[in-house]
Amino acid sequence: MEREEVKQKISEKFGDRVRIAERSPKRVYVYAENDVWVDLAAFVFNDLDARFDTGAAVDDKDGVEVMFFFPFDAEHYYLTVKTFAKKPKPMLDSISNIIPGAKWIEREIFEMYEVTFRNHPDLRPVLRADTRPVDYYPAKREVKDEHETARKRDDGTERADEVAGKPLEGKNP
Amino acid sequence: MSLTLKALKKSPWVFHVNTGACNNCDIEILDCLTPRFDVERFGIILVGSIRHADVLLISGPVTKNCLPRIKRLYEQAPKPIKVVAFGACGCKCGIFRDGYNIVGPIDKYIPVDAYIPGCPPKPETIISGIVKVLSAL
Amino acid sequence: MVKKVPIGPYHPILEEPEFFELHVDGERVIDIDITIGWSHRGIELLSEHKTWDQVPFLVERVCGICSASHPFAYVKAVDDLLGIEVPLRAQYIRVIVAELERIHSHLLWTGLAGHFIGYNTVFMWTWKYREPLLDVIEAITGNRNHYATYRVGGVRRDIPQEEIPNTLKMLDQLEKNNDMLTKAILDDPVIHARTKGIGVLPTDKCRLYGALGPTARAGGYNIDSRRDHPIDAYDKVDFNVIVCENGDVFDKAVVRQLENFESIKIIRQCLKQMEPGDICAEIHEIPPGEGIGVYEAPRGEVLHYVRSDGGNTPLRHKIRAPSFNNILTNEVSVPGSTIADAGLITAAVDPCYSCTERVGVVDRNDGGRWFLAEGDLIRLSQEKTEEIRKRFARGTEST
Repeated sequence: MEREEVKQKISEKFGDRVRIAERSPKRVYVYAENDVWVDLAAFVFNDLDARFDTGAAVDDKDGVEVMFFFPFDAEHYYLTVKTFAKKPKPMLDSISNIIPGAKWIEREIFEMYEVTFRNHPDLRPVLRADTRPVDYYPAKREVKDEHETARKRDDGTERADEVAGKPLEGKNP
Repeated sequence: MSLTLKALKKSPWVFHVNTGACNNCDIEILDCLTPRFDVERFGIILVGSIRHADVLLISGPVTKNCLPRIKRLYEQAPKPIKVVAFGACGCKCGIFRDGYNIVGPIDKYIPVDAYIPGCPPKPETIISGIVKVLSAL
Repeated sequence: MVKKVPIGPYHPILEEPEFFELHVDGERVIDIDITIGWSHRGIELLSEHKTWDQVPFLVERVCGICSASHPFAYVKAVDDLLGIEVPLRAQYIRVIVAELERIHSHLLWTGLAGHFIGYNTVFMWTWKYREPLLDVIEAITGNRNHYATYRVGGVRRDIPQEEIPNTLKMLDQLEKNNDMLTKAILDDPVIHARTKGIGVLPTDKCRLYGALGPTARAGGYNIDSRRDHPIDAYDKVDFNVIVCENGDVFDKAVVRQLENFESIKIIRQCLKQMEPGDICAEIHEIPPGEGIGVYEAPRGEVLHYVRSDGGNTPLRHKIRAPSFNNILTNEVSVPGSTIADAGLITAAVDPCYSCTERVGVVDRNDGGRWFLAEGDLIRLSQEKTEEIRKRFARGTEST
């Protein structure tokens, strides 16, 4: 479906709960409120016949911006559906019951940013090491500043040794 | 008979483990078995079980998931065994040094006998590295 | 009685670790449980501490086999953010390196699949034909596998004029070898019996699960980012998109083999159309904004999303590899097959995470477990092929 027609249909159906921005002929971004977000994604996937690609999340100090990408292959452009889940305890509805392909990406967003997806069939971490502590969300702003990637590089030989480690003494039998 | 020839005649069996690497080092190891480099004529083969191995080849920066399994593998290996750390990631974590899921290069946990640097090491380097390990026996 | 069979996390056929748990009843698989995460290195978070020019070196090492795909998608995301078009010669060089990598990756998969079925000759010959290709790549870019060619604004290194006749000669020889391989593999009745009808992924499920690349095209889902979202020089060359109907393992092999010919065609056209010129545009700063970069890697579409706040480093860099979507489709294609086929089906989506080591069987009722020796999955698969071959030899099976 052509870009102008898609923009018109979305505005008609959702009115002022969405805001449409076109950055370039190939990239269209639609910002939705939390309550219409799943309806909008389902509308784009089922009625407008887009393909589901994947999702992403960006952390901000007031909340987490979650987005899903829907390419329209025949017309050569990407439509991104975004919403903003407010902190503390960001919560959104899950789309996995309509699009099974979204199961893993929602689990990853939960694991990294602590965004809870209601009605998800199996919301547990997907990339987690079994040795990681239980409530550890590595990509949250509050957490990032504390772990190793944020440390400065040029601290001298002690810090380099601490990260890279000293080799074990002793040889193999 | 020269030392190299004697060493090569020992025909070591190699077991390869990937602890979270990008695959490239593993492809180069498999490349050594293919007709151009063909280490099988020296008797070096890749085995499927640690209990048959003479050399343990470890690639990749060690991720938290893989650490307990690597330790268990090392305990199950029949001694004497030679451990070779492979690639830039095996030697010193490479470009992933500051990752939050990386617990450090493998020589923090098990003793390593040889290091083969490179990203990835070329097959010629690999063969030369294995020969050096064996000539030190 | 339902038993659980874990496969992984280390398995002889493939390189990276992955863990599947099969719920079996006798020989048939009823359900599959997939766990990933052994190779999670936190690359997206590492990107936030590297400057815009240092990120391509980091993302190359996301995967060693498709190591031109991730930097290509990343620089396209930054180009999208800036809204620029790179110089023409740079566009052709980017496409040439990317297509050379596609051929190398498909040949690699064919070799591994052949080894898994028990045709070690296929493994040795396919990888032998890969070697001249890797030599040409080394002459052009400097390394056999991590090319370091892509850069924000263009490419880092030009293709020297004296390498082009060698490249064309190598492509001619490769075309003949690929032709011979395609005919040998696709006409073999034992391979037909072993791979046809196994691991079917129907077209409607492809759409629901977001399958990508040859996994989707083998099932009749006609998507290809080179044609649908053309970047750089892809809209200046002609090529066909290979689509099959059945979605089984045989079709996945057909799609990959025939795509090699299309890649050779693209490289030849690019080399002919290339004119001398600049290879990099001057970029002084990256303003605030966001960009999406898409590229069709050998395994499917790679998507990179980049967000900038005007600083030296990306604010957020999201990487989505195609295997993230494709491995999930195993939930549909594996149940209903036998244990010997389960390993082959999971390998047929060409996962860029892989598994090695042992297969264990857990008896759900009494909780006892016993472990089969390592490499048993390959042995089971190769035994099945032997059995089929004997049936053909005895004449009790018709082609």
